[in-house]
Amino acid sequence: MMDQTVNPTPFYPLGHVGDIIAFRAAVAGWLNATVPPDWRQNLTGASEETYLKFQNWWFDQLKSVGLATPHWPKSWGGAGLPLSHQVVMIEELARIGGPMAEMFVVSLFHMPATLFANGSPAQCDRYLTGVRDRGEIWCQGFSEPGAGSDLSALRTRAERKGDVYVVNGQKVWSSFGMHADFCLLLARTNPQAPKKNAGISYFILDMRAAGVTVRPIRQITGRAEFTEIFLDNVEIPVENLIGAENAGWQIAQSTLAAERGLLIFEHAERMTHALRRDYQALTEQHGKPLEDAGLRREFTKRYAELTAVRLLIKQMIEQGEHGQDSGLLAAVIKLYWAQLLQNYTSLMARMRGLDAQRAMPLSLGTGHNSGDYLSDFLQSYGWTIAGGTNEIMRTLIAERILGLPR
Amino acid sequence: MSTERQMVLDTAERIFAGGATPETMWQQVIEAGLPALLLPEADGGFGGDWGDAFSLIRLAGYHAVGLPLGEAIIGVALFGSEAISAFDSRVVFAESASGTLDGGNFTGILHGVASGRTARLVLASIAGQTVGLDISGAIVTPGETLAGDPCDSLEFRAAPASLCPVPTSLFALGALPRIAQIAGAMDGALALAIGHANERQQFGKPIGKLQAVQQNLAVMAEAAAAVNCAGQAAFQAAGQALVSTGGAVKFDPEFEIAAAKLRANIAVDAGTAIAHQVHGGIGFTQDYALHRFTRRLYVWRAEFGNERFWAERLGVLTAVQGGDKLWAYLTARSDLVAMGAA
Repeated sequence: MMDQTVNPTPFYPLGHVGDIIAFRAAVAGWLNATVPPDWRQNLTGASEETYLKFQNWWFDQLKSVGLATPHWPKSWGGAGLPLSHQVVMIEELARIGGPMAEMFVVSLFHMPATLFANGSPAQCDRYLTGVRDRGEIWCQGFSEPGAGSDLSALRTRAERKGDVYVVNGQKVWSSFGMHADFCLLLARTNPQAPKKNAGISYFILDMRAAGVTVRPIRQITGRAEFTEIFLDNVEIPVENLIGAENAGWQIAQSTLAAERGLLIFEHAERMTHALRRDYQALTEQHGKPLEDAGLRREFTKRYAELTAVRLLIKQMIEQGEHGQDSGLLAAVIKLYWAQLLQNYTSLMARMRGLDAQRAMPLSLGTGHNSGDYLSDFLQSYGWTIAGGTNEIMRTLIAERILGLPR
Repeated sequence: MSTERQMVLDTAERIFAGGATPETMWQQVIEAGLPALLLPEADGGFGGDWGDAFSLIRLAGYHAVGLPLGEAIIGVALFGSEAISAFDSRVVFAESASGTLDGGNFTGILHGVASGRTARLVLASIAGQTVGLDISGAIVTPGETLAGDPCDSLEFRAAPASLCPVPTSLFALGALPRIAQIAGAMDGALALAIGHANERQQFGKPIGKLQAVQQNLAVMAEAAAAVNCAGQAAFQAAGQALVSTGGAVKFDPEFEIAAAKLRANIAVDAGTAIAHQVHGGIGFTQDYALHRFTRRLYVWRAEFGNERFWAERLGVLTAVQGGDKLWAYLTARSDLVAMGAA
């Protein structure tokens, strides 16, 4: 594997691994020197092109100091950064309110989580390198119009013909599909399997292959980062099958687990800082909403819940450091976080009064607490619905943790 | 109950469901004479009662129509037939005002005027008085609500203001349409959610067969029913107030309006969350109709008094009665309203 490129700036956080105080200072110093102070303003009402350019720029900055893929093992060209240091990095990023590399979430979390455990050496070499060195963008092709919560009902068909699989079908809700280079694709290879989930395989799809059509979905917020992907006789080379044929369902579980871990930690840290900013703004707001006993109670309750979810995440991180499986705790955290985010953004939208109800230009890539409260609130449905709805998560907790009958 | 209610509602239903652009639909509403609902037939109106007004404004909400129909109906009732002859029934309300009234002339800015740019007459509360202002002399600063509906600021310089006596605050009267609109939009969003739950197949059956989904829908239906009930009571009280203004009995409907707007606002939180949750991803798209309801519900909740404002008003109105007199106060009010409606 290639060595990390050493950054010419005086701040090189990876040079301080092992000394957590020095590491934190180096991360903070680098962020201060790198993040443009006016980046939020520049992305408010910005065009998709500006957004794309900025996301790529931010990824390149992270890459230049080895902080794009710090959580990847050294054997795959990452920094092999201990969890404790990853936590520090995220804390500092949240503290300064830096940009989120949201266009790269699947590239940095879902794809590697899938390939580390199930990819062939050749696949890992090609695709991990692609993200690490070239910032390749990945999307996820799981849901279909008829297969959301009931994912195993998916109907996209992949038929083996010689050295290729010929794929036909439709995927939906793929974030950043229009910018993606590759897609993590689930498709049915054995329609006769006794159980629906036993006939599904997992593929790497080149988004530029012939027969792939991407259509953006305009959302309630006005953004269009979701897409539909239409697959018309798309040929996928057999070497792009991940794991064994018909083993896709098991492999997909490792992909889904990726979005319930450190990702939520970053969101919760960002909300912690947003809560402090919001508190300050509310004390100065006309009408002093925090002098109202009912609103104070609600605000305080959200604060307590945020504290609780951060403790749960810390517990999960500790389990991870000791190599324990934290899949079930992650499910609890996902459900808890989704509800907290929705309740918090709802409260803020209500407390900010009429000003929060006026149409404003969207602030792109600023996370779930952008300060555009009603837009943040609408965006929160992404968490209570996507990646397992609250109802699905509760069923999972009831059956797998509490042992209630299925 | 007005005998012509069904006829009026059928006419309105055809217009609201017709899918015309807002400008065209507003013209159709005016041509059908709907803003004159509460005027006596002798004055060119329908001679409708306030129960009819609730039903009609609620129907607009049920179709997610963002037109200022409620303001026009109530405004025409307050201002009289001159609002029709001189101002083409295009009457709207200002949510707040800053400025001064000097010798009957207003200089200042009116804020939060829904559809201000296409209206002709605006009612505003200035220095404790409710006045009507001709919009033709105003400078319009256009704005937009999160639902995409026009909500403007109007600036006046020494504009003649005509006094318009009202039985309660204009702010409370402004809350009335929002209550009925929320009641309708809650029912509209509920109908969409039930339809989706019965159609959407997952795990080999409609998701409406899952108890978790059924219970969510039941909670939403309960909230929608409560808003409709409270809304009807508030409109009845407003009708009683207008009947009694000229007579011996002075009746302020603020209590019923406060209770209804508060109940409506509370219902929006649970109702929209459930409607979106039941719809899953599809409810999050602009192609699907749900956002036309939910985004308006958020805006209508915030306009003319949020939960905090009306909870405080209701608290004050209740607390001044004291423990001994509260029950007598409540029954006396409802007796009076019932008599007025009879």
